[in-house]
Amino acid sequence: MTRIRVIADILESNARIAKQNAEMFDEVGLYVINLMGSPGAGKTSLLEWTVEMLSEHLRIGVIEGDIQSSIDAERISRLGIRTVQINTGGACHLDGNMIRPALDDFNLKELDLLIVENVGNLVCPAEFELGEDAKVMLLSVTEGDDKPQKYPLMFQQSAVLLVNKVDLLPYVDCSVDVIEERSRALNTAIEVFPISCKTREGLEAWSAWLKKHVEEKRGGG
Amino acid sequence: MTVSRPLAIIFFDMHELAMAQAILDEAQQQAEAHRAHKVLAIRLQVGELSTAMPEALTFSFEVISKNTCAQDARLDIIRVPWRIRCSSCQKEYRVHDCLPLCPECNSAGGETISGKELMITEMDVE
Repeated sequence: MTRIRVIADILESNARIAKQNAEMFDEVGLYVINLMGSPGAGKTSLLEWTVEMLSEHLRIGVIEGDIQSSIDAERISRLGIRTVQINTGGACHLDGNMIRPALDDFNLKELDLLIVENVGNLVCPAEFELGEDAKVMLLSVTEGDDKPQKYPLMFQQSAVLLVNKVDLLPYVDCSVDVIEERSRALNTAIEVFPISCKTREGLEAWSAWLKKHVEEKRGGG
Repeated sequence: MTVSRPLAIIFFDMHELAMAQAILDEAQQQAEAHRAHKVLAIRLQVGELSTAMPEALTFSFEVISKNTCAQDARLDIIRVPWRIRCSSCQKEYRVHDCLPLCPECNSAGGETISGKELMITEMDVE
């Protein structure tokens, strides 16, 4: 028997592909976000409003990741936005390799912002890089303020946390302050925006953040 | 007191399957490089922050390693504790209950110094 010292990062091959994706995005100055959250948190509704608020100023593309169906892609393409559906066929997350073929369906040079909506899940998407500029996480108040403790990796990796459905706060035992405090304990730099896709509260602040980052990258790219 | 009991794996998430495939690829490459015909054991470090469940990883590996040189390989999984360096007083401590609160100064958060690992460290081959 021989013992071999290895030291190999298991996710390295994905990290390598993600890095190649990132280089492609950087070359054309395209800002990419990886939108993550539970099923039903409101990811597609958020996307609809974000597209509505920014499509006048920015050229946007959307990749929709779902286990099956193209319901979400149909919702977004109705807004006149180029949308590509990826069905993972069971896989609970998107990875760097899975989005590759979808990227060929866009002319990346003609986009300012690409939004990748990940599969609804608070666990696995946090482990797999896509080559994005920022991970954006959406959590709704009906899910409870204990989520940062239950899914710490997701909160650690995200640059932005959007707390959705704040219009429902009077009816649920959930505190946005507690979510914010616990999220900051995991990730001091995280930006937190309380929002409601129903009343549109907070969406201006979020879209201003996004627009600023897109313009910064485009300016430097 | 709370008793924590990992659930028997009936359903397993596909992300462990993707990870198991990466482990198998690496094991096969290493075996070939060392002219070995059989992989006996693979030692892995899996951080507490990683979302990989050891039971699901082991099960996935068993399934996909059939008819390869690693089909009887044992996965020895070492869980690596989540440790933080406090952003206020720099004390290094282990995080309990997934909420980093410094036992020294009670501040929240800091730099993660271990706990995100997902790596192969050693293999036994023949």
